Amino acid sequence: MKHISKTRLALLFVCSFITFSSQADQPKQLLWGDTHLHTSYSFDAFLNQNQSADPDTAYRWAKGQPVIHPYNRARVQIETPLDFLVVSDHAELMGVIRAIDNETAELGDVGFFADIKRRISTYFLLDAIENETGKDIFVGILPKAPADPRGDPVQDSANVLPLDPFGDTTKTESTAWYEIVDAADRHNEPGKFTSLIGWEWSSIPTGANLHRVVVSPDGGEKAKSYIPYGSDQSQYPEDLWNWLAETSEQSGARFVAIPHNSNISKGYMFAETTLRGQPITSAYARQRMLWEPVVEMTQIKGDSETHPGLSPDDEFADFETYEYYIQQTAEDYELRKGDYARSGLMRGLEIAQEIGDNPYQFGMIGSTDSHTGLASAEEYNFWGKMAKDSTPETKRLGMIRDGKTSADGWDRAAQGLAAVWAEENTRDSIFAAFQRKEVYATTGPRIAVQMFGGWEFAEDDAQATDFASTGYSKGVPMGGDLVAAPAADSQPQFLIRATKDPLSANLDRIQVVKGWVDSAGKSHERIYNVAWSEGRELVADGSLPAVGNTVDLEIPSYENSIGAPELLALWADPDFDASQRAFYYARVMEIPTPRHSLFDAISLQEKTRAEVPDTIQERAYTSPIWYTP
Amino acid sequence: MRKLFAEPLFQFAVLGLLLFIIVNLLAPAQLVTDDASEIKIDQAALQQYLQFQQKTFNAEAAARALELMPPLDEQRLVEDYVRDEALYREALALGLDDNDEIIRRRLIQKMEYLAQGFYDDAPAISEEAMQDYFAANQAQYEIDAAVTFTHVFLPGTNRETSESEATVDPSLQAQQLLSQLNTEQVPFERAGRYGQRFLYNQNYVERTQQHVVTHFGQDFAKRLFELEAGSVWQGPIQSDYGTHLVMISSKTAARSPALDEVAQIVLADLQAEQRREVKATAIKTLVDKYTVTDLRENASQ
Repeated sequence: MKHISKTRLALLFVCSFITFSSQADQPKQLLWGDTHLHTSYSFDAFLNQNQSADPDTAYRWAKGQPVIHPYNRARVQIETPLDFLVVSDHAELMGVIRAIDNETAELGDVGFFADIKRRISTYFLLDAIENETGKDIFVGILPKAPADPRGDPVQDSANVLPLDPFGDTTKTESTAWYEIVDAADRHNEPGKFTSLIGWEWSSIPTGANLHRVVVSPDGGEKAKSYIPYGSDQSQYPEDLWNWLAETSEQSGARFVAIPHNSNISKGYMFAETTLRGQPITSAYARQRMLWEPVVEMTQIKGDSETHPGLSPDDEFADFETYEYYIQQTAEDYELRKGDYARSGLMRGLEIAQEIGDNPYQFGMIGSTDSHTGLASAEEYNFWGKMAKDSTPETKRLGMIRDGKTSADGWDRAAQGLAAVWAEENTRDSIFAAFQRKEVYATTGPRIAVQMFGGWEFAEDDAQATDFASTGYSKGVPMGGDLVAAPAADSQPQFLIRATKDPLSANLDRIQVVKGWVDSAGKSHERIYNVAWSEGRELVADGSLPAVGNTVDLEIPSYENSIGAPELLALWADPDFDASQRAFYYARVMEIPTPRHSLFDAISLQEKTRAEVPDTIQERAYTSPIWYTP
Repeated sequence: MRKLFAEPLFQFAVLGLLLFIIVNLLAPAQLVTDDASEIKIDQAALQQYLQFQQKTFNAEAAARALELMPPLDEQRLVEDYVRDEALYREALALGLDDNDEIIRRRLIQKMEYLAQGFYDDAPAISEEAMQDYFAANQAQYEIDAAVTFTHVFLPGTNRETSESEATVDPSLQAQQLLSQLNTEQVPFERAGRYGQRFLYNQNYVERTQQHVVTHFGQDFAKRLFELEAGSVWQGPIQSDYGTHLVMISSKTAARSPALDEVAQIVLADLQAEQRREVKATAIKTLVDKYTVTDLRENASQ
């Protein structure tokens, strides 16, 4: 962190322990959900031992009912139910493996010899499923490392789509889609629980993860007028957006596409150019922002906020770092700027400075990407990425046992969730929040965070009982834009309130992460500590001593004897330059708590591996507020 | 003797002998396996085999890997190679490649790839060609208009209160608020203090008409883009949700970029088009060599 002189530090921080009892003035309610969940209808979920948790199971779990775990058959239950859920199975081979296994597949005519081949493939497939070696088949159809790691991965000679031995599966896929859609409509209860219809477009040319979850707020009637667009139709995101535009035009259905796992995109997610290697134009930036207002930046396959290699001055940067590409062949992880949300937001400013439009002006959410049908993001109640890694013993079996590409359940994280500030718990209301980016990410705990940006907040606004109303009338909420600096010496202010998850740990601090671009077109980042639990003072360089650690590694447990249940801040940017584009987002840190792997290690009466931390600081990341001169 | 040289059978035998000698002297070892039951192994074959096994294609790395390979592993590699080669030859001998859809697809794919390869021999793209292409496809490169604005929102009255309850005429109310905003010279950043909270955003920065449509509806977007920028409040404009008073701080008109600005993209598009054309022509030449006989009953002649 750069040196900030204390006199220039126009830091108006407040920290307090007042617990807000009244929510009466609250214009919006906070809803919690998972926008990225797979069931037995996804080919990879089924091949990895989820053969029973279907969309119906997923909704029942999300609503708080006990359900049967698809692998270990135990009765499992979420601690706090969710408010909304998107079942997002892979469009590719949607429901096909499941249908072949239970002999309901309707497959197209392929001719005599191909039919023999299909029978043989089916035989091997069913045999593997029965012997729990489905994951070998799964690994066999994963992509291969590229011949040219800098080129267009779609055109790479190593980018061969696995030959589909089953022939035309459209009919089976459409049956599966109808079932998924019907389950969503059955479980949607406006005002109480919302199901949004969605799927995953799973483009991963030569192991560069470009996956997007597509979400629609519209009901089954519209959803049944199309079949989900898959990466077998095109691996280019531009083609997905064109399809969304056409389908929206034809069916009236609305969509957003939510990219995820930029951390293993090999630099292509927030790249300097388009996937084809062409320069980013205004048209590209505007088309992308029309369909992709939000990015899922924290999930089981790691946290994509930033990487210690990109943010060496950020003491919390190395959090659930996940460096394993999804592919058959070994390839060392190579850190690239296009891999992380923060560097993506910064690159967005650089491009905007150059061409006038920002292709990466996205809000941020978390979700699980669990393939078990169970949206579990709680460390002590985590049921795995794939069904098979749900028990302490099976969790440590690597998915790919080929040297460096191997990652097991202990390398993965029990996270995250999508938080949404919405008028009401309905499809339309939640969708509108996604479009205006008034959403944020947490790594599991339900930390409540509100943030407003403005120019004219008063010192006592942070303490006001009508905090939110003040925020909305004097400023813009997270995801919004600040435009005109009213005077030459104005500083943007940020009004932030964070409250702990009632069932989880106290809060350590609120930080504001600022990114900006200088007149030479180069972007920068800086982190400001703006509110923290009492008993600590900022050091001259702006850093703050650690909050401490109360975790008992033997049980494991922790105590809320440190930290604060609530933190408030009114902070003005002391280093503001009105001529520079900038973004600001808040990061709210919890005190340390035990990681899921520690629960396992204790139950196995073993030690965790050296590279797996025993305790973590869970956190919330708000969507940014942007300033444009 | 002379008669003998004139004998076609003799000529044929001599030619055959010559061919045999030439092939034996010049062709690489693999081609002249005179015995179909002999599998020859050399460094090049193993290198290639290793690359296919590892599914990474880098000849240098494969050569290095082969050099460093422990003898036991190398022995295993040779055994695998021999096994694969034997199975492959037996399969060919049994004619298993006939009528196999996957092999057929693979061969078609290879031919398509070859056809595309002709593009490399095509002449380089001239500047004139680029200018012509750009002129013909200008619409494709057009940059849309965009506005930066804030707004004051008055919800539609007929939604929650019935018309009889509505004491104030909504359009009158909007007009009054508009003149108030302008009289008091309410600045851009204070918009949020007036009217009601809108479903979507307060401020919109450099947004296209298409984007505005998704948040406000067709009619609003159309009206908004007809207005000029300035530090005055304008409106009222109706949206799908109610009435809005807007302040537009900047507006950029739609424009056609100069070729320089988009040269790289135009070049890539033109190359892609040429590649398609070359491929289509090459395939057509091949297809034209065939006579197609349609045996269906209702086939047109």
